[in-house]
Amino acid sequence: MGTATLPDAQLDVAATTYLSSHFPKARPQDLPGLLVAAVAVYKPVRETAPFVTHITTSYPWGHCRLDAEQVCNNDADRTNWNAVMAEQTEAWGQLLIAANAGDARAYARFLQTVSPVLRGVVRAKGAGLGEAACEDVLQEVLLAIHLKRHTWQPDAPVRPWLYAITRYKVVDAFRARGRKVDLPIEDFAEVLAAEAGPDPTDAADMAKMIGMLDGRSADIVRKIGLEGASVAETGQALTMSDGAVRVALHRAFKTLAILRERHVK
Amino acid sequence: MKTDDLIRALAADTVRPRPLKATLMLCLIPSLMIAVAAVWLALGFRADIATALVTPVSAIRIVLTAVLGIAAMRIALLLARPEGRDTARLWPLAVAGAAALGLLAWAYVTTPAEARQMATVGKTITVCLVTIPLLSVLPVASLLYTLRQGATTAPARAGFVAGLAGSGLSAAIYALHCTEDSPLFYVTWYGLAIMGVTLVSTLIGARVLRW
Repeated sequence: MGTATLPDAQLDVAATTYLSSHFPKARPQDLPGLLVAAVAVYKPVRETAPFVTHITTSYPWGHCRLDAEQVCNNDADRTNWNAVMAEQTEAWGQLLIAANAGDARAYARFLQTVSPVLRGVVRAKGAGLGEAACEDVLQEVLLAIHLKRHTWQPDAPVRPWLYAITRYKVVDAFRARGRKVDLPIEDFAEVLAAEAGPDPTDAADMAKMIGMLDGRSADIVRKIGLEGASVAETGQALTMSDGAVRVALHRAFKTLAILRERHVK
Repeated sequence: MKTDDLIRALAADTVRPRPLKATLMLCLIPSLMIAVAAVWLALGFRADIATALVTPVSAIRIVLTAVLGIAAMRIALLLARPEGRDTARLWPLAVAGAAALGLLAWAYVTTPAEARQMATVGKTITVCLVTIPLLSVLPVASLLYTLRQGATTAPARAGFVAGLAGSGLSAAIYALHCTEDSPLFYVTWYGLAIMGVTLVSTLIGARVLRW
């Protein structure tokens, strides 16, 4: 069976069958979320022959457990899989190192790169909530990553750090929204290292929280985020110094995190 | 707000919080200096401190409590990171505890039966049980503050380790004053004081270290 020729519809059927047999505890309503996650992983990875060739012929959805022990039945597979993962992790680490050295563009790239992966995790766990609510949880996770980025050390691997924050925030967010998360994130963590389709949110929560900031902070966040203004442009528009804009922006994010926590509880 | 817009705003925020280790040292070192000064000024160091520091049975309590405190501090720094829940190992603390219990057993065996009770009760239980927790307040607060700046995913465990670190170091400082040299005394009462502080710190940690 050629990997590139397997039509998507057939993939979906295979995935659903695989998922329901491998995640017996998952309720029927969880399956679509798992499926999204699995497809997100599957599509980019199937380009990575020869590992993928093997996985698609023998284990149509094996890699969505991502647990290398269960996915791969020989050392060569495991090595390939680990190589794919290691490459990605290294790229993340380099971006984050550059970001921490003050490279704002690298930092934006880092957040853009990990977002689809984290979106997959969030959706896999919160399928019943709907995509808008999941996107909202994702934004909460991103805000947490941002405010806690000094807890990553350059000599530590990025992935466990990133997933630990995500797991903590996702469990918290879904608990606060009255939904118990019963699948351990570890089942998905490794698998989800792939791009998910872009999905703009229409959840109003973050926008609502920004509205609860003081007027000036809200203006700064909106100008930079929505209008794409630079710190300097924002400073000019609001007659503030660059330094004052930066400090106000940083405070605004801290306040947003607190506001969200209060609001959700 | 779209996620891409949020990312753009986040990336513009270049204010970087201080690394955790720096935060801890900035708070903990002054706290410990205050504790030393408090013992010195309020209670006074023991008169025979030079001799005591080279007498094994007396010096070992400083070593034990300091090792416990430093080991716990290092674990606390690990637990301050989100992945610390999976990477931090608590067994070194159990080793320190086991060493203390071994010392207690050794002292029990080597102390004549009729002298055991006097050695255990000593003369300064109250001072010991009051002073060690008091000295622990600032060091434990320093550790909890640092953990709050971090991102622990195991709040109660982090509070537990913070309590052990702060009270272990404080007990080592208190030992500069205390003249009760029998392990029957110091393992029992220092141990009780440390456990009390650690219990409180665990309860506080479980509440305040969520984020």
